[in-house]
Amino acid sequence: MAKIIACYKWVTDEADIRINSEGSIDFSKAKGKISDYDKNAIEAAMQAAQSIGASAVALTFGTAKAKLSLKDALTRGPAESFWVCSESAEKADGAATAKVLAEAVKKIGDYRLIICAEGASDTYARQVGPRIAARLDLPCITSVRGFEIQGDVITATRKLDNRTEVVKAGLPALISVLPEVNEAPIPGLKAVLDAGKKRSTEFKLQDIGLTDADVAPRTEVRDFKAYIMNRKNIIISADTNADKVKELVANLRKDGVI
Amino acid sequence: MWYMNEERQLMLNIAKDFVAKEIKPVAMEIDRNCEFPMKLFKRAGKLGFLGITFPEEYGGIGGDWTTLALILEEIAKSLPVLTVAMGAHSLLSGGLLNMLGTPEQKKKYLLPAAKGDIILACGSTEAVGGSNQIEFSTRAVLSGDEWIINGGKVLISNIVVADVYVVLALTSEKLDPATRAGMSIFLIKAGTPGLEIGKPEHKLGWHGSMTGSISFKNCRIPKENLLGPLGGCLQAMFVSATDEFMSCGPVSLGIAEAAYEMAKKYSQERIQCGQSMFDRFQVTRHKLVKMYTEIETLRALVYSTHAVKDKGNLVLAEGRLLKIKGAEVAEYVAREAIQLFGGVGTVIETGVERFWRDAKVMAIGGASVEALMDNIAFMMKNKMI
Repeated sequence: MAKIIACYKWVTDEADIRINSEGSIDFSKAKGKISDYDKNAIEAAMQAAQSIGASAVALTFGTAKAKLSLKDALTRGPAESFWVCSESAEKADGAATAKVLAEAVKKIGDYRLIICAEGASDTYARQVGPRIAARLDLPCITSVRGFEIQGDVITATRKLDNRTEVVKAGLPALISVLPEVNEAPIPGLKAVLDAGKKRSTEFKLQDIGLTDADVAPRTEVRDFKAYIMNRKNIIISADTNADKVKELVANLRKDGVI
Repeated sequence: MWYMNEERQLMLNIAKDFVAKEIKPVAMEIDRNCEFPMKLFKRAGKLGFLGITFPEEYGGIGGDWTTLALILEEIAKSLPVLTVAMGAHSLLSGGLLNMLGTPEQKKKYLLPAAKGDIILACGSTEAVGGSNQIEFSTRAVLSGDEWIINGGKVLISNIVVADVYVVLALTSEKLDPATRAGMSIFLIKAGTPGLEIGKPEHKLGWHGSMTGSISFKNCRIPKENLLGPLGGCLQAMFVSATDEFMSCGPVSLGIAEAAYEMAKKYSQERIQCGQSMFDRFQVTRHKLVKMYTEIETLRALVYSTHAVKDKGNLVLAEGRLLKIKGAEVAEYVAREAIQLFGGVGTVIETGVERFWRDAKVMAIGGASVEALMDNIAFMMKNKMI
């Protein structure tokens, strides 16, 4: 049966992140979770699979910690999960991740549609989807808020800055979806039991023809800093409204805001 | 935590999602309007929360008691009354059906109950005897192919909304005080002629639990609606009641945690004389530490008891301890939380006082902690513990 492949990322749960007083970030107590937006991608894969009689599968690239995600992903409906396990995922950027996922997609084979979230909830770099499509030479539709498949054609509605755009592409293709594409349902407890009976396949990099050197990131994350908002406590005290506006504008210019 | 594993974590995550997306937005409104949380109850059924410990063949998930505790704790952090409705439905009534029901009865009642398609209520407490069955007077008499029931029950949860009432009634002249023989259980459908449903009481807490009276006036039900052995149901009732008492542990834990988290946040954000209350006042810090200590003590008791239950033990005494200690901790922590809020803590819209109201009822609803202490003392005297 043809497959709809939903790609997802195991990210740090932002609810567990602690910000220290000097602005550094403490990840020590943070647990992992499937990126919230990827839950929409998985649900989109489920709906697409149902509409065309395909099988939805889930695919991720992650470190050993991402093993915890497999059952979670399967709880959300996919028939099978695939996991490319490598510690290099810890520092992988969008280009490296796309390279791995594209090779994994080739290994899985027999796919009609690949669905990614527009971005991950940790970095939201919006790189992985289009890069996978480029590597596989597939049509790519980004910023998708709705889609339907008829025969070998996918028709998607894209959300742009000030308008929507309807585009068509032949299958196989890749789409990256916005959270509004659907409402990811809360799975039932029974789905957890069912997930335990489904198959999860683990790939090492060499299984998909890659080495650690192939997935070395081209970008480097030097540090994480918390965004801290400090009030300047400037009170504009001019007498007239016109002078107040001038003073406000002067202050904004001074700070480089305008 | 030592009691967590992957499966339990995934199920807990489902409960957290349910609470965040569906319960929390309406919890205050349900408390304020005293309305039964019907939509949430039905959703709980669809998500599998109503049949956690029921067998899979009857719509449950065949889960363990620790998983049930995790989910009750999580729901109680937002809407304790939903766990009250779940307890009356799944533990008291559903528990009896699961233990005593024939395959036909389980298929007819337990299966839809697990999915939330029907709601169950358990009629035990009476006006004169309270929860002391020796003094019960509701009676069932067999007449041809029908049981005729007369009497009444009070302070029953899930009245009005229940589709089926699981009711205790004497089937002998009186209950044998030594063997406890003579009490039977019957399944009575809502709408049966002779079954009269009272109005829900206005209560201090547990708003929306639909607690009130039911009465039977020559209420005729089919002979096959007897649940379990004739005259010999009290042992099963003792077990299902224990399961319900035990569930008060995680529910109380959830109540205490919710009130504590609110008070801690408020104490750290409320500024007095240029400092947060937490930083400025030792008494604030010490109150919070004591609250935290009680919560962690209760957590240890809750999950160690559930671990013992998961090994197949009945935990007749320990289950009762969970209700006793849970009610004490929840009421103490919620009271102190209101105190830390000061005047705004008494304002309904602040949202902390409702946890104290619900905690107070925990010490009484289902069975008072004093009655449970007497149960445990009886076990001590008879060297059962």
